[in-house]
Amino acid sequence: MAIQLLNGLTYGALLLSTAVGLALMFGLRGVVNFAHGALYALGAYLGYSIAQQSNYWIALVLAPLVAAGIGAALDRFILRPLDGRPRITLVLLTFGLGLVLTDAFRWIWGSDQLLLNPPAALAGTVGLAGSTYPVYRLFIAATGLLTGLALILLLRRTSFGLRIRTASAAPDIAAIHGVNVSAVQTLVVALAVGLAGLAGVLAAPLFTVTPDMGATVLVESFIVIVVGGLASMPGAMVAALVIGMVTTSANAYLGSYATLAPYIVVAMILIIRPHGLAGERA
Amino acid sequence: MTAVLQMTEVKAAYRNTVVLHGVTFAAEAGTCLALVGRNGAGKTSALRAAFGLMTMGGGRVALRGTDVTGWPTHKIARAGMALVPQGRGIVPGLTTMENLDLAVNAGRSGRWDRRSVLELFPRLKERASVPATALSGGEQQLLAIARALVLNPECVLLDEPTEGLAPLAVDALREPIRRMRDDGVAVVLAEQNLTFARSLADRFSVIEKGAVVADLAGDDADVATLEKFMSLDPTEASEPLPPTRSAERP
Repeated sequence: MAIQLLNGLTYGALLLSTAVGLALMFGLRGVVNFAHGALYALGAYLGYSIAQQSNYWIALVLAPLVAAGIGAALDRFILRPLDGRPRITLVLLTFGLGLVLTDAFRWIWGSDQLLLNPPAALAGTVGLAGSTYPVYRLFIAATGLLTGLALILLLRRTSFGLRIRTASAAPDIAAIHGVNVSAVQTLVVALAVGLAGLAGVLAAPLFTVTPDMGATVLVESFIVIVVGGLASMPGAMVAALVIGMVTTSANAYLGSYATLAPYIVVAMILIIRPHGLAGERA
Repeated sequence: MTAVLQMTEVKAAYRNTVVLHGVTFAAEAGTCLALVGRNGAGKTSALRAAFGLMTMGGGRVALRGTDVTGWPTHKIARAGMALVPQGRGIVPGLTTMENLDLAVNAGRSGRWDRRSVLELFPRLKERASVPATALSGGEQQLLAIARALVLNPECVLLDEPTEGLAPLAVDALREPIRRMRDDGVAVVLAEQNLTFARSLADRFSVIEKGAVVADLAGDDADVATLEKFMSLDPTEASEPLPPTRSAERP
């Protein structure tokens, strides 16, 4: 049971990194980013290739940074020119981008599963609750939770966070107070894609790296932000952990019905709280 | 002397509707210019155009002699313009203090900082950590004015600050606005409440159908004269909804 909770925490921490990015992009950019799963896979592939050339630790730092740079370019050159178009245009665009990226991974890295080994320092197991547990999973959980904490502090306690929150709630009001809204938007998309990349490189040693590894994560991240309340950061964080636990417990106990579990949970939560855990009534 | 804000033949559109057909006015340091006109005449659009928030169709906006036409809004703010927007523009989800800090962060230093502004508005200090949307209408308007002050602007545009406020709350606005003006700020006040406008304004510009149709000195502008100018064409005045009305409120 304790092991299941830890597995849930590990997976929840990964979902947290992808889901908060989705929530940030939706809140500030109005973009429902269907390419987010592919960007997560991109992080894993970048991590794999960088680790081949150097080592895991450098990959862990560099892959999210490269992903963030790609995020900034995505905002400037792909999303920005479509500003003012109907939202469905952007949805279709990100959906297509996800497909293109997935094929690009196949083309560059091939369709085979790639393996990225955790670094030696994190490779073993530790004794926990009368059994053993992989150190690397604990590392993922800790990194994910620290990332979440850092994000909350960034948003709540810094002037940049205040700019993000204002630009997302009232862009005109932000602008008349000297906030460069389009620069904030670009930085936030970079941050969101960087976080997806971080989740990808963290996940690479846990799962295998495949072109469509982002598909499940994308769907479950959407479930997380729907459960958490769209564009609500604390809501997304709590929801990530809940969905992480539900998914891993279901995998352990429900066998072939496991894939249904997160959907049942999201349906139940939406019946009780139609605007999500942290969502406000419209 | 050069005007702090000089609007020259400004034409502008909201979405695809042209709402300003050539607006000219000047605001000078230490004075208050009132923009009056009927609902939908183009007052809000004129202020938004000054701040780069409209699609410009021609004309020129100059701040202290610098042509700022076409500048992005945040640069105009940093150059010394402030707007107290219609409906007060309180940011939902932020506390009173966070709303104020937004302006503090803009980093235009001067005589007003967080401390001196909170001294001027003790009520805001008491309610610093309350969600700003929980403030009363009058308090929200004071917060919007406090935000503008903290920007230490050279020119402040106020868009219908008295709208929807009780008489006592309206009275509470007069002093801080007068204070700004006496500090040397060029104040532009778009206002339907003519009594309020007359208590502050040195000059009046009457806007009608997206253009300035009359300029009056404060002494010549009694309510009856202003009302006469504001309904130049009585047949128009009786129209229930001028075509620009919906366009004026984005």
